[in-house]
Amino acid sequence: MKCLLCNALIKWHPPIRDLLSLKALRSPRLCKNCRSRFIPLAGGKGCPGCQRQGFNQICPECQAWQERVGFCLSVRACFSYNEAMKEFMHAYKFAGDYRLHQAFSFELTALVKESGAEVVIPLPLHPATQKERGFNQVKGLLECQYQSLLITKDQEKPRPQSVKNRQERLATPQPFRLLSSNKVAGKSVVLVDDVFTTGRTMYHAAELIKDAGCKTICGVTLAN
Amino acid sequence: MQKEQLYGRRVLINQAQPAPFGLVGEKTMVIRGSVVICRRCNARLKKTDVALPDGSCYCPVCLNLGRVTSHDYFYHLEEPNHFSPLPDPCSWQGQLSPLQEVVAREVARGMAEHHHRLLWAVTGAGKTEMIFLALTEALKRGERVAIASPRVDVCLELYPRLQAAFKKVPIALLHGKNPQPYQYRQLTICTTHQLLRFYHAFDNLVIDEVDAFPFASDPGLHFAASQAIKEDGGLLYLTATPSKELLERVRQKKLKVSYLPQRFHGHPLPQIQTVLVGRWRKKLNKGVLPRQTKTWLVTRIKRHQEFLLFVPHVVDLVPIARALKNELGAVKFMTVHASDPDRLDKVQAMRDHQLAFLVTTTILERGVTFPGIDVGVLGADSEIFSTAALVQIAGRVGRSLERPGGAVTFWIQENSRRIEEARRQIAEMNRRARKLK
Repeated sequence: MKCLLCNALIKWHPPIRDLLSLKALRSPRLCKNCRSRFIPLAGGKGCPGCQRQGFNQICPECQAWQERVGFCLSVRACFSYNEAMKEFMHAYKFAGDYRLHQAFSFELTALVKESGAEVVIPLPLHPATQKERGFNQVKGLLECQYQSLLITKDQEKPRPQSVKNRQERLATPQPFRLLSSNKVAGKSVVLVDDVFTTGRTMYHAAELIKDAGCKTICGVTLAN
Repeated sequence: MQKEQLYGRRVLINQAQPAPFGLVGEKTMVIRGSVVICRRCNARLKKTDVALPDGSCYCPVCLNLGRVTSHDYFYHLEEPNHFSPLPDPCSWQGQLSPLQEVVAREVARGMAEHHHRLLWAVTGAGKTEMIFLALTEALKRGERVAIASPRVDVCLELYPRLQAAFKKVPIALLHGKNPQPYQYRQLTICTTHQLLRFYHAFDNLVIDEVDAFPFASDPGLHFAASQAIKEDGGLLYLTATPSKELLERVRQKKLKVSYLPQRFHGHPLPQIQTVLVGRWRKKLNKGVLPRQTKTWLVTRIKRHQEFLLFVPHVVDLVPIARALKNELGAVKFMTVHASDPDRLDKVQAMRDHQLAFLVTTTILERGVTFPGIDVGVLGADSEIFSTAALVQIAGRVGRSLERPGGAVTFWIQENSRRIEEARRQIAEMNRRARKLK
């Protein structure tokens, strides 16, 4: 097995405990060196909303959301968004190296399962982007069942969030449409995205699901 | 887009965009059952590894040049050689030695007949100057010519030298970090990776430092070179340390060879001296240099003799820098490695005589000249130094007419076959050079 990022050979001996258990064996996809550049976010610490480190209570940004939309969404992330994650996202999304979806699919899926939600909804891509890229980066990272209940609304391709500044991002109008509100009514829902930055995209989606009458809603992202 | 952009190129265009000039696109990938072959880099891929959820496939091997997917198309126009050749393109004023002259003429004749040839000349023989004659004649004939190298440093050093020698000829410089867009030029300097974007473009292609990483070990780059030249195009390999594979092709008479075992100044190559030192890494970690190494360093610093000190790995740089500071006190030196952001500045500081010495990894093994230096290698028995690398490192010494000799000292823990082989190769070259006289 070779490291997906640096192509170095990975030496791996499955632990005896894993060999004896009947679970599927899972060899590492990244070498130790590359892996150590990604910083996992410890569960439960930081702001209860967005997991931002250094806060015990709700951080000012989540308070701002509370005032803006009337609720605060609990969004958990696997890793912090550092230079390594930025490079990874660039290689995976923009250069389009789809093999990299295996690098963190296990971690993200585990976090999604941990949320215990009945309905898993990945955030959609604009159809033009999806066609150009050939894949949806969030769906690629999910190893569990999911329902693509959200679709993008407008026909014209908007400017991507990643090239906008903070103010522009926050001023983005609702881009999504919910396909069927019965499927989420009275259910617990988890929204999945790749990167959580200002929270605008995630809150747009959450507003739609909340309006459809879900029981609970939370979010999971790969990086924050 | 102009038609020029497609001459001798394979331009990748997304399926959603219209075909330029009403051309018919070529397939980007060949799918045969469970195997996918990328038509740009010739990589054979397992379909299940490279399938995208939308049903297409992509090539992860040449991803850096822009992703090839099976939904896209290549567009190509045949190379028309739309140049107006100058009557006298070469403005180089230098003089070749009689031996260089003989080889230069042989290479020029071979290039006129589009031979596949190896120019095997020792380090510091003046390979670049020897191909000027051949390049001049090729440019006069109106041929499209490229000089490619696996190392971007070599390209960056070649470009100003060639531009100075061919002042009136516009040259295109292509490499991954160059922000300038592609230009259609009669003479191109590029990295070997960039050759993947060409298709039947060049009448003659020169590959400098052909045995360097990653060209030597990457079949995709060999493929790149073979398809970047026209079907009857010529290929010239330049190196001081040809690989076994190249020599085997010479032996099988598939490759012609021109040979110059003597340096431009006619003096022999300095031979390698080996000195056994104990566990030097352990000593370095204690902040101490091996005794023999220290003596060597101190005598040179006293004489103001500049030198390069090679170490096997990037991780060795920190302990050795600490030990050097500890043992030598206030001597001005720097350490440099491949991904050092100040790499170019540090090398320049060494060139400008601002440093007593430079501690480096293998990145400075080839393609660089510091006139009149000595070289020491700590841990030369490490696996990272191949025979070719050791010969190249030894070849940094004695490259100026003023100081044609110099010391090459390897500090080792145990003898290695690679060092023995390097010593043998240097001795062999010197023996052959003596025969020439």
